Amino acid sequence: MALHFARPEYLLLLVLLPLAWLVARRLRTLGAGRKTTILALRTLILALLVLALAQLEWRSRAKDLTVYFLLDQSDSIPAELAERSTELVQEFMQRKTPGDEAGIIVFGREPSVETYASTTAEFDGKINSTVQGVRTDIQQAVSLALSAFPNDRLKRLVLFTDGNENSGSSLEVARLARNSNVALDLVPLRYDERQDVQIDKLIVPQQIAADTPFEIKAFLSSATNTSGRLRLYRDGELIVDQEVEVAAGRNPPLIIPQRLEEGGFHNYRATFEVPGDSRTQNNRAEAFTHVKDEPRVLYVEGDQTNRNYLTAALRAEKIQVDFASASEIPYSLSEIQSYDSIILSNVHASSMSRDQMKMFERAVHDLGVGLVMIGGEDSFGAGGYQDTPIEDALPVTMDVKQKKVLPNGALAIILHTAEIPQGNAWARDISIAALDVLSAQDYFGLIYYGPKPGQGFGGGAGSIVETWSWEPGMQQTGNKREMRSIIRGIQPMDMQVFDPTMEIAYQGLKDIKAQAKHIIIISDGDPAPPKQTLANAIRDEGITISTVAIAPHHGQTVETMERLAYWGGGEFYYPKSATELPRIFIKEASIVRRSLIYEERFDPVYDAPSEITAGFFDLPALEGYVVTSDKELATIALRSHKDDPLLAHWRYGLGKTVAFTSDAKNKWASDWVQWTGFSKYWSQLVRWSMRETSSSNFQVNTELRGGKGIVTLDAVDIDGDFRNFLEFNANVIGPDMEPQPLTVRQVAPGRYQGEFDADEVGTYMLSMRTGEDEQPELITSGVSLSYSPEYQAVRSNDEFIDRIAKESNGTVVGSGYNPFERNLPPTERPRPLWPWLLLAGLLLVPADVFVRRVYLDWGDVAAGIRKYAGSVFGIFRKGPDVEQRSESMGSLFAAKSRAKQTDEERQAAAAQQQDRSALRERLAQQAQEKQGEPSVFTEEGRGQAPARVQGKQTVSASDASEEKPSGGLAGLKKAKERARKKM
Amino acid sequence: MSLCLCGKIFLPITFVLLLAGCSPQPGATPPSAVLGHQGRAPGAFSKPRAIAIDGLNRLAVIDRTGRIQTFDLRTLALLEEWELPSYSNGTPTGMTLDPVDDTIWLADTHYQRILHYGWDGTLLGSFGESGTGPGQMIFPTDVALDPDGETLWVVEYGHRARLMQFTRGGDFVREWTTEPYEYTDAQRPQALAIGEDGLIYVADAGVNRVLVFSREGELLRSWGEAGNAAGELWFPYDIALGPDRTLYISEWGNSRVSHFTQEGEFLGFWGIPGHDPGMLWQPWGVAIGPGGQLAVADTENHRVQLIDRPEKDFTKGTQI
Repeated sequence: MALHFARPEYLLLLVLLPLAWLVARRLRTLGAGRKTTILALRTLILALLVLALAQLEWRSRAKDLTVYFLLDQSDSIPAELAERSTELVQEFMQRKTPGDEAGIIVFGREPSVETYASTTAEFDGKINSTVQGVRTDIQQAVSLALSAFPNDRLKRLVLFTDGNENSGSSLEVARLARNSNVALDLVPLRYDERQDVQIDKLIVPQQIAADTPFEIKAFLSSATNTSGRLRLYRDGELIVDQEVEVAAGRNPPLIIPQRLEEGGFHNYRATFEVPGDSRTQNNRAEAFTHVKDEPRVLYVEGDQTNRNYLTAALRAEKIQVDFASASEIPYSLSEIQSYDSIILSNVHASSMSRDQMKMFERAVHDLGVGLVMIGGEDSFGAGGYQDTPIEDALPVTMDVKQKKVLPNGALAIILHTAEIPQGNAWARDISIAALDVLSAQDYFGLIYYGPKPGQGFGGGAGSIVETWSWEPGMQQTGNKREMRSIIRGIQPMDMQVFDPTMEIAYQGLKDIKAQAKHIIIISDGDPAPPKQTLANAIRDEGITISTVAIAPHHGQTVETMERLAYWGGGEFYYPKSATELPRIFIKEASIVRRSLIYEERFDPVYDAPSEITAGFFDLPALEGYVVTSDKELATIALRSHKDDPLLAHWRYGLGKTVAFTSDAKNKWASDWVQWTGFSKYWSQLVRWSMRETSSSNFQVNTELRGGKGIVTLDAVDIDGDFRNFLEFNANVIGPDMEPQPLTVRQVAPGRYQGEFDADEVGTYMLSMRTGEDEQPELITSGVSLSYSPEYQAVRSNDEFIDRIAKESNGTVVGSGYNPFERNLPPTERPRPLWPWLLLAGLLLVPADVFVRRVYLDWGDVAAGIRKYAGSVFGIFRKGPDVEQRSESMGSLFAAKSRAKQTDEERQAAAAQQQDRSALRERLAQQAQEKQGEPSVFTEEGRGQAPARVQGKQTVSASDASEEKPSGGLAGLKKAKERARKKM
Repeated sequence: MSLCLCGKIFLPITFVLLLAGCSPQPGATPPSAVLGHQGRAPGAFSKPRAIAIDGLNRLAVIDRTGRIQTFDLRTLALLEEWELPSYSNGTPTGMTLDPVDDTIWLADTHYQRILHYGWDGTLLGSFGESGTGPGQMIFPTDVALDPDGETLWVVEYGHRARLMQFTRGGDFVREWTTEPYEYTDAQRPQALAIGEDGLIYVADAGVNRVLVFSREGELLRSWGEAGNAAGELWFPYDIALGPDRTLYISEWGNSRVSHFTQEGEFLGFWGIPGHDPGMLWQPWGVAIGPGGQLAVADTENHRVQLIDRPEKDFTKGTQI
């Protein structure tokens, strides 16, 4: 137990104490006693503040014990051992004595507090926290426990682990625990899997030439001698299926000869099946390779019947074209990466998930893949691309602002989703999905049975009505954020009759000025069927109706919904699952965006010079396009007759994107498809968008080691000499689609290396760009982490458990262990004193002011005490003299006014006093002259004045009252002026 | 002793608040008893829908769990509990007692059929098939029998609003119907009651009116206005005929039971929206016992409320 300074360096400030004495020189006007008192006070205040800054603590020994049990819940722990761990914790908890605290933290990839430490903690053997078991991070778990310990107790951690750490550094945190006086004991979870075979890695050359033999190597390891079935898939197609013998331990690689003719990226996936395998997660591996070939593009066309125009045009210009329908759009970055450019023609946004769109955007921005969007009914804004990652990548925006008369639409949705599970959540999701498609000029409104907006269910009788989501019904979507927030609060209920909600929608849409008006009705179809006359009236107003039947109870209800869509001239949907709803609503919502389609004949107008239009001087006429707006940095090479972008392009990150808002088939471009320049124009456009091909002078290798990806580049020039001092602009896109910057440094002549985090299972695509902007060299590579290292562990790592124990100075526990035994080194419990020191210092400040400002005549104080004592004890003898009491009050007020005066005021008052003395003398002289009588204003008379004067600068009340004559006032005025001048 | 200003202001307010806290809200007349609570246990309900009371003061309740539970209304004890043959599509919305033998008839709405049960849960019979033809049905909402028990009436709305007459054996006799996908007088007939005069009273939740039919299936008259004022109707979901030949109509939309003469004259109401006893939350079924006792299925409050003397407890006139 002792005093201790947590920040002793602040004690150096004590050397500043003499400053207080220097300042005291200003106090020369005070008496010696007061001066000494003030000096002492100030010294004390400063000393207290310095001690507070140095964080003076009072330390006492901790007696009570807190134990945290850390339970490894990662996937490497066999189930029976995980169960045994919880049983052990239960047993240990029984040994808790009163005053002991116990808590439980479980961990895998991240820690989670199951129970905070407390004296009353109990454990029934069931873990309620969930942690991700795909990693083991002991460091985070121990760090969390260290921060969760209370200060003033003995501390112990009991760590249950198999020693297979694959994230963080437990050794580092073990040292920290030791230095923090925290005991770290280990309960080893020992196992040795007897039945496990794993594919350690699959090696495929990352770059190969077309039609050249190469080898694929599969490295296997096994716990025992066994046999199993190896299957190898190329781009999803099974190419090898054979029985393989494996020996215990690491096996020599299985070599599979291969040859590839088709260019681009190819994916290989190997699996190994063995009966009774205890861990199947590690029985697969993935790798891919890139075959250099002619440039290849993927042409995704929504209108399949008219795809041949463009395909033929590109193939005629020696561009390899792979065709895909809207439902065949690639799902992985490695697939997208295998193309030099992607063409999206008349493909609706609902054909892709948002993640897919993000993948396209990343492929362009970070991997240099080109992107071309060609117009059509389902392209650009008309195809629902507003506010999507694809819009970000394109050189035009879907929001049309430049028009005097803005093309707009109006969409009303009737929501009856109460009959499906999580109906309200779906209602909100699909409404927001539809809203996101619309532009600021479009109108939007939701109708449903339920409480009126803002009323909730407490709105009283009749609060459940058919109602709009917001007043006054249809509203423009300028403030989507607010609309989303309202939509998140809507509570659509069961609907009994179709007509009222349809009538509301009809009335809401009828008078709105919009080029396209549309109603979507989602229902199970069991409200009373609608009137055909109402549906006809709606259609007569040019409003279309589409219906979505969800969970219908009867064939008749399906028929009702189908019939309604038929009457309304819209689509009927009967999705199998609610998960299809957002896609349907995105597609249907974009119907009102068809107002963005202009269908009239026009001649393209040249605008900015462009590599794509170079060599073309007379372009044929077109018959339609989708209206878009310019992006500021984009090149608008061609415009429509209405000044809208027709051909726009720009560089987006490492890639290039092109927007051609008309089409490439016989609908809007019937003159073009017959034009002799058609092939040349489109090949020129597509070639411009293509990724800059990687240089053959680079050999690139990427591999994964211990949660890191390591890329190695060897660069030689055409003469075979090393290329040195290259600078790379590189990044990696991981499985989360977020790019992470990659630093590539030269490590040897012609050799460059970079490292990136790769602890997530999935594919990592790398792009490295070097050279001048005009002639960039782009190198791409990729690597796959097939399974978490968590699944590589086949036995406990007892050596590592011993190392942790050694670093922490803890023990590897055996039988008879009691975690609540108080055999720990003493822990001191610090109690900070700085708040008290600070408070004391602050309280002394008014004392300093008091001593400085208030003069105490000790004689008067003594008299005062005597008088007070007299008044208290003489209360029964005699009441206080009124005159005397008023005199005392007068003197107190005088003292108060003195305290208020500044030095300057005092000087001015002294001057006034002198003037008053002179005045009094003069007045006395005049009075004597007049009456020849003695006056109270003479020096002699003043001594007999009834008011008692205290303090040298005080003027008695009688003085003031006698100064009333006008001559006296004038004199006072003059005196004041003089005093002011002196100031 | 004078009262300061604060006292003068706050004392009356406190007094008023205390009074308000002690007395029920205006219009919320407490029930005689509350039966059940939310749950699937015996005696508990999940959204009770259709109810009926027999001559022995037994109450039958069907809820969303597909169970029929019967209770003795004198002791509120649970008597029997049984499950419907199938209910995953939805549960019956209409229940009526046989005037002859007090057995239970159900309009099994989502299975397009009529079910007939004994009080011990025995399925006595069923008829009906899905379709739009004569005698076929889509979403039958209620069933009712003539006083002699020989004639059944069924209403449905699935393809069109329709009132159908059947024999006790389930043979189709005649129908009154609207045109498919076109409505004039009816849109969603939701409940039926047969008057002692033999007239058929139909509560229609689509047009918010009560339709009165002759025994020949002719629409004689209709009354009711949509709204939430006293005397107006908002989603009338069930209709029960009282001993004094008046009609009690539960309103899903207005969360109350309204009381009318057979001619449509408004007499009073019981219940206001809410969750306390005496309040209702989207009620479905209403039934009258032999002694005039009224039971209402307080659907979204998952309970049944009982009013022993409706003629006394109903708020009279149009004052809400």
